Amino acid sequence: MRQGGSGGIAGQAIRLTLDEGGIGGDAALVAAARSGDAAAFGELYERHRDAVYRFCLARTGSAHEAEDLTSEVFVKALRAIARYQERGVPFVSYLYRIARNAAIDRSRSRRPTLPVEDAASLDSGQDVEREAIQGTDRATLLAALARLKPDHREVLVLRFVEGLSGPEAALMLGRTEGAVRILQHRAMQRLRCAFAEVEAEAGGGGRR
Amino acid sequence: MSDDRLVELLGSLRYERLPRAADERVRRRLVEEWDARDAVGRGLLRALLPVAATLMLVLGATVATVTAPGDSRLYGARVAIEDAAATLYPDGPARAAYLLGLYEQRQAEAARLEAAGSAAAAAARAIEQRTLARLEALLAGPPDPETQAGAQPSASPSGSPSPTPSPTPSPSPAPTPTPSPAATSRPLPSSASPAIITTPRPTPAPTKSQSPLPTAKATPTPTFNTADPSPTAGPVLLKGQVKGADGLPAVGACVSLVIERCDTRTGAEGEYTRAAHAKTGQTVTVYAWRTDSTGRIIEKGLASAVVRGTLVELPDIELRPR
Repeated sequence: MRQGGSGGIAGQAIRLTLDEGGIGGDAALVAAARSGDAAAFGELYERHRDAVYRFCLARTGSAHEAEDLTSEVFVKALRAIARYQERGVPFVSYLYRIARNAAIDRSRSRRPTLPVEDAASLDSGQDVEREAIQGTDRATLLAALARLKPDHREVLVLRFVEGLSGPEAALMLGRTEGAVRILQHRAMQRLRCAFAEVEAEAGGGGRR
Repeated sequence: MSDDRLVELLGSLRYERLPRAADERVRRRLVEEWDARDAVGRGLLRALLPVAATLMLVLGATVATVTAPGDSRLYGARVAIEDAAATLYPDGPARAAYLLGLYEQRQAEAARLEAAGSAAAAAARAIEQRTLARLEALLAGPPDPETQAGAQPSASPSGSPSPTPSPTPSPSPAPTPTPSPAATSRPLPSSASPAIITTPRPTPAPTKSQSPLPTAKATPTPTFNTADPSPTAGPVLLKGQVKGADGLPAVGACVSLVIERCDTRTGAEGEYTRAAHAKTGQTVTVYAWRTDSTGRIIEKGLASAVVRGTLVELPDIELRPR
């Protein structure tokens, strides 16, 4: 299990996860899991756990909510693994879809947005490098991401958090590369606006 | 905030990992879910296993019963099932066709058992006779409008062998004993209805029917064949009598539609009844022969008749030395 580590190692780990998590690598594990191999499902969990967590974190802006959502995503995937059908997209995009739907279900039952003060208190791990980053900016970013439309948020997460290339992101999102480029451009514009809004709100709150 | 700074901030999120405590919670939950899923699967299997075993047993017993040969203990059950299945055919022709198939199959089974010298042959033959009687009753049951109308080919273009009851009084020959020599000169089974016995038919002349082999064929008139616009093969019952060269009834002679395959034997009065598939207007030929102790044919003869209804009475067959 990979937990934290230096940026370089973590970066390599992410690339490794993405490469292993390709269609071919996951297909065999998914097939084994479907036939009742618990270890195969365990390996799928190992491969995609952190990616799903980050996706959920960007979606909810809250570490606690992201943990719960991650748990829910894998439980749902386990229950549905027998019905899973290979459609030429990576298994992780299936997990993202579950996460998206689970997050929507949750947002219907409670307010999804997180106050900036709560996000700022986020403490998710032992990464020294991460802790060096300005906590306020990160918290503002999470709050801003939570305000974006789902497809804007997803393209940003895939391209800049998960580090996928344009074609890889296009495959995951089921869009053309050109459409992904346009989507990414608009998403950055929206993020910039949202970030400014959150900063302004936080500044106003601090003055009160 | 510049785009570069935003990208840098987004990139910093890649170092986020599911916290260890949360990871352990998720793992525990997944293990519980997996075990619960397995338990459900095992429970389902345990519940379905006896059902599947019972189904297999019933299926096996059913297959064994419906394919039981004549010398099997299950043959009686098979016969009962097959007989009961006849009720699934509500209309007469379909039921007759089914019974005809059944009869032919039971006849073949009885012949096989007889050839094998099986003790069950007599029982199989009795079953065959019972089937024949049932078929005969079905075919003879309602009066045939065509034969009632005097069997005039031109008067019945449809030529349908359908045994639909028709209460319409016939303008032609009344159902009084017919003067036809073919219908009166030989004994008929008691199961034959009066309508059949008394039905006037255009039977071939007695001289022709009792003539030697080469002249015994009663050729169908071309007008009869053309009068039937859509003849379809249906079950018919062939009845007749076989006599020896001395004019006495030939007892135990072989009767068949195919020479040298003995599937029916004549009774004590030389009479025979045989089921077949034939079209209205079709000429059917019945062969009869007797063999010596070595199985060589010593006498043979034939008779033909045109099918006009479900019951076809053939002229007497006179066996002549080969």
